[in-house]
Amino acid sequence: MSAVYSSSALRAEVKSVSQLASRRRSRRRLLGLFALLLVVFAVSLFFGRYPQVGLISPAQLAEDALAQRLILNLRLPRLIASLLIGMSLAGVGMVMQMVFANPLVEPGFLGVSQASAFGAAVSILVLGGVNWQVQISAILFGLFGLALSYLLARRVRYGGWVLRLLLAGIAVSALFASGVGLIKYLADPLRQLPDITFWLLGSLSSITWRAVLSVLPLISLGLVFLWLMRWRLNLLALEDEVVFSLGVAANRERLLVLFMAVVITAASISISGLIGWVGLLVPQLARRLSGADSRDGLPTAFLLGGIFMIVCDDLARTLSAGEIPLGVLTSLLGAFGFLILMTRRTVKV
Amino acid sequence: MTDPILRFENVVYTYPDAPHRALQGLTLSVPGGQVTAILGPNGAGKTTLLRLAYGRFQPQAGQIWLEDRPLAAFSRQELGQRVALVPQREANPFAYSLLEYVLLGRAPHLSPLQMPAAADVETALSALETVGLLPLVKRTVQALSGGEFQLLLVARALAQQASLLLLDEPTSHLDLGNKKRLITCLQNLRENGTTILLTSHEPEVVAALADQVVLMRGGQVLRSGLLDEVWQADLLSETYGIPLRVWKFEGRRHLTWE
Repeated sequence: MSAVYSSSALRAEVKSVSQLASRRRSRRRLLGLFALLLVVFAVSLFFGRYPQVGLISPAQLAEDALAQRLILNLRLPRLIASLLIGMSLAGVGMVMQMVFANPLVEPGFLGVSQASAFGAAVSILVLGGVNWQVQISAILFGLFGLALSYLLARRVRYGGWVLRLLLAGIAVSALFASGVGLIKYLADPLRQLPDITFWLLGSLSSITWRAVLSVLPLISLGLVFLWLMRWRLNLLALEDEVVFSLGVAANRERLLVLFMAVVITAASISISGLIGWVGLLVPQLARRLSGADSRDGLPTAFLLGGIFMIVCDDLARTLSAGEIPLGVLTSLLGAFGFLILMTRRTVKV
Repeated sequence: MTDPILRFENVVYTYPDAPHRALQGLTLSVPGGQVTAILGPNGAGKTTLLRLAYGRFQPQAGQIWLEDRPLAAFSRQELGQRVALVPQREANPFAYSLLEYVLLGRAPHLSPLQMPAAADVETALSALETVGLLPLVKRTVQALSGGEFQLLLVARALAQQASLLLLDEPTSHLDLGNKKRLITCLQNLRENGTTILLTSHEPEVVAALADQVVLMRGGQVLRSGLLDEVWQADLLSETYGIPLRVWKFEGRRHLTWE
């Protein structure tokens, strides 16, 4: 081997610079983000309208039973829900962008969002707006949307597997979106339509402990699974042929990961309604912070997603006396954030 | 003469929806520990042959044997541990670091939930060193030139530590210096017992490197054998369908058209 390149000094330097130092740096960054998340969570617990915007002081909390109940029964479940949903949407967005090798993919595509919305709308129209029924219907239809996209993709005779799934997802989304439109047209404009619209805009204002606990096990399980697969995601982003030659059953593993991702998404959407942009923006941000390696990127996306969603929900419940729909806020902040990200000089997607 | 590590017997393969066969009754044996080069015009079936050799596609008729076992009897992971591929080109959608990209070559040696360990990083670094990319290690994949990326793909295949290395036109983007480096690197690998099967459109590369040469045309083997037996003007002319002349200049073989 050529002597120019193989000096052991260079090798030692490269090793210290590229490998160890960057792992140490990324661990510090993750710890920092985790600390930030804890702070945001803790502050948000005591922050809000009661009845004026501000923090509830410990002294006030000790003697005010109403404040205690507010924090324990309203804010805490709501915060946990924001955390779960933020982590889910951001993490799933990252996973999907890797699996589809496309930085513009978001969790709801593959028909999941629109199918869940359709499920919720049908349930509101036919069964009335009972919370747990809407929730179950949203999850079931979300999974049905995925199944439909998958079956359709198998029949598309154009492009590779990834492109076919993408195309099928677009078609299925459009189909359910038109279904939602039809239901909105049929719905009683005084009783049902506001419920449907409210759900489509996304909100955590009526979240309960029961709703949070109903999805907590499923989402936690899914997130842990995705986290365990984080190195494998780097691999699954490559072309079929390459993944295959590296001894990995590409499509089987992608399908497993996607299924988990969609289950998490559907479960999140089922308690919050449609919340856009988090799953698109946060993974981009995470990749810019941590580089393309999803060993660091995925945990970064989890933490950033949690922080972003908690802050958005804080704003949603305090900016005005009434609630601002959460989905509206995330889209607003998300779109602005996206524009800033894309127009900055060093874009690394 | 060593035993064949890879054998094709009357292999037929047709792509889905394709009007004609890509491989029609191809028979071939690749001796272990040697460099075998496949030459042939565009569309002769060279890349298809490689795809079948690492199990990407199964033949519709005929048999493929790897180490005297039917190829189909190997699991996906077992094949990944034994056969490594350097593709002609591949898309790289995200800005991975070079080290991260080469580390992916360790995948067949890891279970789905396992992370690469320090030993894997060591292997990846020496693979980068072998192809001469160590000085660029702080760059990302997307900042590489076409030739550098091709070397990176070779490094990833080296990190796979397979006994059979398949290379699909490995020198197509390389400058002269890197071409020489790759040839040296492949020669070193052969010294260490790795079997190499490559396709190429560059006669000098083949002449400098190959022990065995396979001439392909129309999905069939026209002729195969030792370099000296096959490197004849009439055989090569028949393969490419144009009149060609074989030269020897200062002990090196050249091929020119008339």
